[in-house]
Amino acid sequence: MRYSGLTPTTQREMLQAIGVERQESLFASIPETCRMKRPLDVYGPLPESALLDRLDGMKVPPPRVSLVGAGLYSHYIPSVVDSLVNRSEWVTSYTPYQPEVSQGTLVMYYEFQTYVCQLTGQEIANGGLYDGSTALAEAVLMAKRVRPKAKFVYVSESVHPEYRAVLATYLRFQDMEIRVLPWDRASGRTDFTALTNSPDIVAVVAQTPNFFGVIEDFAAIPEGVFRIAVVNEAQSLALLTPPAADITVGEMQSLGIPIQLGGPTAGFFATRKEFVRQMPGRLVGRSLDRHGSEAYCITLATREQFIRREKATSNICTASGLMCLRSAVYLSLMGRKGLQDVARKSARAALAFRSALAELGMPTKFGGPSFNEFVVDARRRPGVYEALEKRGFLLGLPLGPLYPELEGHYLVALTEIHYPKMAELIGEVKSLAHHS
Amino acid sequence: MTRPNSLKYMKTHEWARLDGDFAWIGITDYAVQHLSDLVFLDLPEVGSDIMQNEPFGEIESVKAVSDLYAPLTGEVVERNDRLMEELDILKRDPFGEGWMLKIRMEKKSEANQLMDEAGYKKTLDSDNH
Amino acid sequence: MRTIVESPIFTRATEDKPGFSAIADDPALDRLPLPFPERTDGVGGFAQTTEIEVIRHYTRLSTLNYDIDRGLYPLGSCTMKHNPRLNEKVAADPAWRDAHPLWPSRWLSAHHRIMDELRRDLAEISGFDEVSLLPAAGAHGELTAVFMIRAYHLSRGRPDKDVFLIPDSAHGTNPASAAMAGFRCIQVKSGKDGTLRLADLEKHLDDRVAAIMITNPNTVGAYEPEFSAIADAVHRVGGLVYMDGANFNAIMGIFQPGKIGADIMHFNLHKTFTTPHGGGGPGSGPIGFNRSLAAFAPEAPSPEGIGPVKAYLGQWGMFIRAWTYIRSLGGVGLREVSEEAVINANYLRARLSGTLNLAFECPSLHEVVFTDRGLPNGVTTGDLGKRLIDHGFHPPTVYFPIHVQGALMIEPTETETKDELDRFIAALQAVVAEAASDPEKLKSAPHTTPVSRVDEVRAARTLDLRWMPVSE
Repeated sequence: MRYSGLTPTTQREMLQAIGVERQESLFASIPETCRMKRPLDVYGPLPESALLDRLDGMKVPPPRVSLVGAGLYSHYIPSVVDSLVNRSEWVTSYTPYQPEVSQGTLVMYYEFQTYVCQLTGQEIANGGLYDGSTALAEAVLMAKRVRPKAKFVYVSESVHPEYRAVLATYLRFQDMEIRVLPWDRASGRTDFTALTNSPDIVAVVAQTPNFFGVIEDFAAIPEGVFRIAVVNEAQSLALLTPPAADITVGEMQSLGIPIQLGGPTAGFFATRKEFVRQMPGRLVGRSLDRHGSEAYCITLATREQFIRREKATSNICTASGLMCLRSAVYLSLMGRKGLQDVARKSARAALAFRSALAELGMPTKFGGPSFNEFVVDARRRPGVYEALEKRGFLLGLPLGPLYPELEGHYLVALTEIHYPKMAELIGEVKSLAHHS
Repeated sequence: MTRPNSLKYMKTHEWARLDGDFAWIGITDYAVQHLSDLVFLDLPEVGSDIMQNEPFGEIESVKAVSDLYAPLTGEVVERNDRLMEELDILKRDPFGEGWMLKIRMEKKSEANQLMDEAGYKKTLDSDNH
Repeated sequence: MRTIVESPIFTRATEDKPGFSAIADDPALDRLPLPFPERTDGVGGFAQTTEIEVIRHYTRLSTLNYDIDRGLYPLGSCTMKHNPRLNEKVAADPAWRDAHPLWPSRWLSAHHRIMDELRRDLAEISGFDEVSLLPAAGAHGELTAVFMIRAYHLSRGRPDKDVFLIPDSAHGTNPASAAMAGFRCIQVKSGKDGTLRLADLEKHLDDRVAAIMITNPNTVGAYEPEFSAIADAVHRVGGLVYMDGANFNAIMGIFQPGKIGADIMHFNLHKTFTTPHGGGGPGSGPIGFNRSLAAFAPEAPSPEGIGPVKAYLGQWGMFIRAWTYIRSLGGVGLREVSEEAVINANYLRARLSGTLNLAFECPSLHEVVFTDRGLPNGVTTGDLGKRLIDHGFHPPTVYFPIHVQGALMIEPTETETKDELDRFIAALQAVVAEAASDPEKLKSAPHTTPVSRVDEVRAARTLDLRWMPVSE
């Protein structure tokens, strides 16, 4: 299969116009010693049908049931989303640097920014970053720009472990030091009591609902400390009061984006208006055109790498446009009522499942309130997780490898897609738990 | 626009007007014209110190951002907040109403390193060739 | 029919519409009291619409975009080529798309096999020993590489190696990435012919140099003739050579950067390997590197490894597209891609050099750069680009690279036919002729789009960044 546009005839005509006889001459500037002397050793070429067969032959059947969340959640994506997002005007267009031929994308980013503000309760938001984990790293780098003399970044241990690892990578070569805030062993909430307001603190980072699914109390963070809130399960923002934070970052995946093995998704970044010039990423603003009509364009590009170069607020260029579109379409279709409806169903599915597990001798570990995810203590029912997995039922994420003190505990997430199937799910667990 | 010859100039297009222990600081008509479409001015707060030849602020147009260099060392005693709100003043009157900072000079002798109007004009002419 | 501008969806939202009902109610479950108070602000100002309103809104918006399916995207340095539909079909298959990265590995063996094969392919195509797929976009790949370079020097006890040499022709992401690991950037001037000269570089080559970042072919579309000599010289002072792979579309099967002096490089799967641009992403920016850097990779188990730069496994949705593309073409096909991309660029260069002035005389590979020199009546290359819109084309890249006065840069890519290139050439020639006869027409262009030139000054001064209900 080839996608190039040239035929032998046009190629000959073009070489003639260029004034060379053979296409090899066009590469004359590359020294002979640097050239490749053999064909590339990659598999192919294959026509479409053969490739599809090959891929089909490679597939492994997926689990029947997955209650694994841990930062990426299976939500129902209405048919409208794929149907609209797959239009080629969205898929195959470029970054909207030329506003006259990009108003569609620009309005979409403006809507995305608005939705993020509405969900997080913040004043401004950017047009998306790669994902939640890099959005967190960017948030801490921005906090350092706001507080250049401070050094310590307090990070709750109940922030997603992979997010904390990414943050550590980004801060490794910065003049900052990460200090860990422990979680309260009973409630599962972050213990902020050791924290006092000090000029040495760049920021405090906590996630809500946190990695254990427990809703954090940002009011417990001392006044004056710069607060960064991370939201992994964005659907929770439909119902929960948004965290009181200076920057709210997180993952949009829950809102219309398939899990896709964790990428691509879209990160969001929201903060207060006073920090607008410190923000990373692309911003779209409303303006007017020459004739006075409403028109949109990229604005404050002077923060970005292609203008400010080494002094830019971030190096980010290509971000997550099409995934932002998915979220914008999803949220527009669901509306507030539709979104709150599925969020309540997610929360109630989790409630029903956790009480069923508790009755089967697998109590919920933490007392703090949760949204749709919780930690179950399965130590008294050894083998249940494994027996379920054999049947293609993933009960949750085993926590032992991430938190050794939580060996035998699982992180379990439910959403509105599980809500209609609660009786079957509970029945299946019951049938196995009684045998163990 | 005529450039006042009582002022002192820098190659980077800032000016200073000396006034006893104090100096007023701004940018020249040439700079304003070349930056065009100004959208934002960032100036240090009253009470902060600026150092000769070091950046003291930034000025942004839609597609460019430029550092502003201090012609003299001193402490900022006044800042033109109105200018930060109304950048068009710079187009109208860069050497008067368009002043940016008033500083208390630390070393008046530093002024000797700045150019007079004729010297500044000469650098502009050579830039344009 | 005149296309009308479509305002944000919030303007048509009314509260009494029901919202989308995704899942049927279960009265028994709905009796469970929620363990938290619901937010009382009602998610302020959210849209409340009907399905057809949403469909029309986003369909109308989409028609305001230019896209590759409509015509040529002559953007330099941002390879915009045809996005094969097969790739999209494969990526949308639920069997591939709906997998969770934290499932036990036996459920993901097929995904891992595809990633392993892609890593192997990218290593072969680039000549590097190893590949990390993790970075989310080109700039993110650069950042990952910069972190690895820092870790490499630190492991050798050299925290003082803190200088990055970056040519004036570089993408802005290069210095921005270098700065994020605390490196100082020294700009290196290109020679008169648009390429780097070792002789010009030598004054910067000292013990402090941590690395040089070179785009090859560079951003004026030329092979850097002294690349290997420069690489040797940088290596002699203990520095590393980072190659920006943005222009990789010109060199597949032609030369392997890993074999001619580069130590580390990023790929743009959304440029070279046909994953779509999506109006600004998502991208994918794997990096290739030589064995000496392997211990510092994000996945490296050693304490010297920099650690992950992104959660989970990378941009899977892009991996499977690139894997499919590579197999669609095979090794010979990939080489043909580069050959034909270079023929197309040189054809444009030959046909347009009587119309516009070349920025440099150096031979072009996959893209060509002109300048605004000689344009009459104060017409800029930006004006040319805007007027091309009226002829049905997206504007070329203008004002980049920044060391070229009034640059206008064109990369046609291999997927364009001669017919389409001829149409583009004719349009550009007509526009240049018009610059002499009717310059105002260019300065006020475009004239055929639903919105004309946007007041960017107003946008930056008023900073209206989100929709607000009028009453607020």
